Amino acid sequence: MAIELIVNILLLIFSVFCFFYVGATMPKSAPTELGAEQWPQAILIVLIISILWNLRNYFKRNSRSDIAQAFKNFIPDVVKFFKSKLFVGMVMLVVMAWCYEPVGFLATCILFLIAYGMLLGERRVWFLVVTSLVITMILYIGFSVFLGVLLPRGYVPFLREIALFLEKVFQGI
Amino acid sequence: MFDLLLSGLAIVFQPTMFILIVFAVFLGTLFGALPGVSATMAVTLAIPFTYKMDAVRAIVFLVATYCASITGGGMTAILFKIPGVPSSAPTTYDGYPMAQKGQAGKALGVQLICSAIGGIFSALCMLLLSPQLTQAALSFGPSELFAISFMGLSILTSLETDNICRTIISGMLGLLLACIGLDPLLGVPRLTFGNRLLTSGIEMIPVMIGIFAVTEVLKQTVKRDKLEAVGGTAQAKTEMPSFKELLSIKWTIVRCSVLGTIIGILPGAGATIAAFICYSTEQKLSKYPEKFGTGIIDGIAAPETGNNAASGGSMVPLLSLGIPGGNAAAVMMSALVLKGVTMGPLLLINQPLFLSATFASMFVSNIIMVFAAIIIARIFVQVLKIPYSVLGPTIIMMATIGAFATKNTAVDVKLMAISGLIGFVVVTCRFNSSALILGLVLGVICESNLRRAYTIANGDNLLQVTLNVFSRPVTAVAILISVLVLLNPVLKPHLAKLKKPKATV
Repeated sequence: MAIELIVNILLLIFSVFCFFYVGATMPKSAPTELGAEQWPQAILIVLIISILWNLRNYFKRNSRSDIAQAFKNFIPDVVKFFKSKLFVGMVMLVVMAWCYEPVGFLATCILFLIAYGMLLGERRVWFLVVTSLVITMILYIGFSVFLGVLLPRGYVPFLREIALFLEKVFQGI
Repeated sequence: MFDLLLSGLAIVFQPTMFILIVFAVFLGTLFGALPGVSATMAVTLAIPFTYKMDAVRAIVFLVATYCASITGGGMTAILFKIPGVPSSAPTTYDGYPMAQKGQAGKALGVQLICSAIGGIFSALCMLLLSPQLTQAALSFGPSELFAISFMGLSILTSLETDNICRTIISGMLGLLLACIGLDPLLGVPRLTFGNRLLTSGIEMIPVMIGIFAVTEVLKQTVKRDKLEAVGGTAQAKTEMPSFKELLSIKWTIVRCSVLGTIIGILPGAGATIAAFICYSTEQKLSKYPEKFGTGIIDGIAAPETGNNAASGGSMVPLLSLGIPGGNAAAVMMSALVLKGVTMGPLLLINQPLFLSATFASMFVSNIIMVFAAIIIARIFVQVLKIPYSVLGPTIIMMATIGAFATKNTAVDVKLMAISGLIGFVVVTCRFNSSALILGLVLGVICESNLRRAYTIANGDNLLQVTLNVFSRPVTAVAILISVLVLLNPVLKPHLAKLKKPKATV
């Protein structure tokens, strides 16, 4: 409940900022034309009104004591979130996305499949290793070999060497 | 006309050509089902197969690939909530809930039948009405095109009738995201905050994949403590809808076939807008609009009929006037130009075989597609038997490949990941991710057409120009309908409240 209020207030501040920012940064438009700033500003006006309306609904729906209680629980909830599987999953996702190009597809895919599988409760490591290798091979052959979709090999020299070696093995298979 | 039809069928039923069509249909369905491989990409990937074909065979092959790829996209939308092609995004609204209820087989059956009917209907329209419809579409200016796109946006208030305010916020956020990047008319960076990476704008496909697929896996990460396959769908087989079920959605199919074909003919519109408009129209006209989004066959029939009908419609301006109706049609056109074919009004006069062969190819491939898709769907359904600890991360990796394949840049993978996280916040705060995607998809089209309409309209001041833009008959009617449709869910409860006291008196 507290997160909803925080997100709405942050959105409101961002929308107001964007309204003035887009007006200040766009070239002045002719009096008979719609300029580059007018369409986003029209959207932002509707957005700001909708957020204000949503905030009104929020305060109408929840009593003061409920909101106070939600904010009292907010810090423990945040701590709980940082300890949760969801947060670990989110971190894994972000790390995977940022490593995808430098580490390369093959290594990223194998490691991510094993790590996320363990996060989802699979304890048989051998099973995860085997399935990860098989799935990586299927994805690589399906997309790269058959469809010609480019998959990154990575920048890190030894990982690139491994990727090239595995590619040779997969192509051989 | 009959001779023309026979000549087209004669080409298609030549043994080698028929085998090629079957191959193209399998290829297209598979390409369409893979996330990140759009219909345009599917057609592009099919071009190398046409290098040794003559021009007529080449277009027959490419058209079969195109039609099948649009259908293939709906399969992953139903089974994994990953729209294989952007036009399948509305299919996820009811397709995935049906799969979760253990009705994946029926959802796939409805999707295949409706896709085939939509495709065959538009093929017939293309053959019979090609020249006339093209003339009508050509008279549409930017203001009419804006009105048509705006009709697509009118779905916003009906996506979640008990949560209208948050749905509007989500839609507006989508429209705002579409504003990021180079201004479509002036070419100046807008809302980029000085970040070079944002100059090219927010790519639609990674955002869509992130919000739909990655968010879903994150949601499942919270839910699943032990290993299990996705609920109920593991035993699913493609199950054709019964005659009674088909009869119950007959008007949905008819309306969406007509609407999809018309939208497909409009240059720049296409299958994605057709799918969204068909979904919104059917929700408005339905006797049970509140059930849309919960997993009903009407919600699958509407977008799937619409997007396949649009695929046929987009061939009309291509063949009659040499104007591609969409990206895939543009790729097909370039493939034909490579073969020395001059596209334009004279093409059908000098070589009527192009029209008849294209029609025959669409007709036949839409029928073959049902069988091809059943086989491919069977493989995809088997995938659902895999434990979620393997399937979940695999979905994320497929989504990653799909996002990367859009432009071969890691920025899109990062965008997908961020979109997945934002999607989770959106869901947590009870905003509507479908509305956000709708805004993102239609934003650029709406804005560029509206601003073009203002630029070419006469007037001494903005008010006069506005009146000139919106007083065009088609624009005025379309905008009026859209506004009524937009306001209907907002005003309906208030009107009901006003009526109630009178009734009790």
